[in-house]
Amino acid sequence: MMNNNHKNSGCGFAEELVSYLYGETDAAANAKFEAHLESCSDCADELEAFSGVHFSINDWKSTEFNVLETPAIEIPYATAPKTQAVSSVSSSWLSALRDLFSLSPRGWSLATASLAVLAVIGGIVLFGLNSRTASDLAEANNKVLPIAVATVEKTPEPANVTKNNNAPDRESKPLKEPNSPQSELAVETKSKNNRAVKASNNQSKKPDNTNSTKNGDGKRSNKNEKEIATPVIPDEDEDDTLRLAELFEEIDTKE
Amino acid sequence: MLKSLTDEQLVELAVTDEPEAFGEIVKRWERKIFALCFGMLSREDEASDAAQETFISAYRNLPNFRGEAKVSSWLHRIAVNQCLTKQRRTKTRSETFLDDEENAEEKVFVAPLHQSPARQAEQSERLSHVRQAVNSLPAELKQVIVMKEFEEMTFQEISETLQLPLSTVKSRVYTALKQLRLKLERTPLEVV
Repeated sequence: MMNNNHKNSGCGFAEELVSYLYGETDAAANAKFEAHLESCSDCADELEAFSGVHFSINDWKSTEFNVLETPAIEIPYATAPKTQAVSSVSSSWLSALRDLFSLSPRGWSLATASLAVLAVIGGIVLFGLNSRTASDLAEANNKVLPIAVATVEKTPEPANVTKNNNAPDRESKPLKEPNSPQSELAVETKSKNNRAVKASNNQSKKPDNTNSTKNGDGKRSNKNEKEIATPVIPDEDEDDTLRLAELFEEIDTKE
Repeated sequence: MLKSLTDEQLVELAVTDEPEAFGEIVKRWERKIFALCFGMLSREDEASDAAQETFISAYRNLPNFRGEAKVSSWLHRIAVNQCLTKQRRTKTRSETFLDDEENAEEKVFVAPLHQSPARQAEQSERLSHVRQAVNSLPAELKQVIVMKEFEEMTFQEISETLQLPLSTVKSRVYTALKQLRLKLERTPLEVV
């Protein structure tokens, strides 16, 4: 249907042709194109055909359009263009987005102040958390490290106690495993072990606690023992048991 | 007083103090915008609606007019968009020859009273061919040929309005004429 075979584009006078057709060329350009028309039958043929098209459209216009009256354009002056423009602009999402970010100077200052307050609060919270975690870490270091050391140091101790003092088997049982890992000892909070540790603590409280001060750091080891005992505070029943254990030990020593 | 002001001054006045100043712009451009709409849509009622909507849209968006282009160019662009929207909405009845024929004969064509019925029928058919040919052009070709033929704008004015290079406008007019020639040659027309 569409013919894109532009013969006159080849001769390079297409633009001159339309300018000439609509009378938009000066005298020099007119003369030049007319000279070209004499030698180019394609351009001459096309100019004639285009004139026919131009005439037909003009005929259509003069027959159907020129007889029409211009419609009365009614503009709603009651509302100012600015307010209407805002409502019409806000209909598009892009404009709405633009509105969102187009704050007044007061709005910007409020937003900045709010952000600053939020930042300060956030800073305080973060600082508080950091200091708390640092103190927790320090506490944990104070607690955990001695436990490991103490357990290493204390591991053979109950065995000595049981050997020397002939403590009952049920109390010395877990401590008879010298190869058990430290972590297991530190974490394990089973009542038997606890009792054993407590028993050893009680032993160390005795006047002749030579085993506990064997390493020459009795004060520290006592402290460590207390720290070991802290997380495994026995209930009242266990306390009674332990006192009973002490009683047995005392009886044994007396005997 | 308003008549002595430029279009751009009238827009400024309409936005700031006097909305009625926009009425002067309407007076200046309504006929040309109506012609453009008629050439694009080929129907009086639709062209009238499109022209009305063009000016109302322009009035509502006056504060958004940045002054980078001429007011006339701005109005023309709004009008072209209105026409293209209307065409899409109505599925361009002129795309099918029969539809166009029906509408054209019933609503648009006004034959001169002194012509014989045969002559009237012949002219009606000829004009419907022209209308159909123009309507079948691609939008970018149709708008330049309508601006050229209906509004009688210069190539320079079309270039500024559509913000296209002058050579592009001439090339589009040339292509439009070439396509119209082919379409009209297929239906033998009697030149009056």
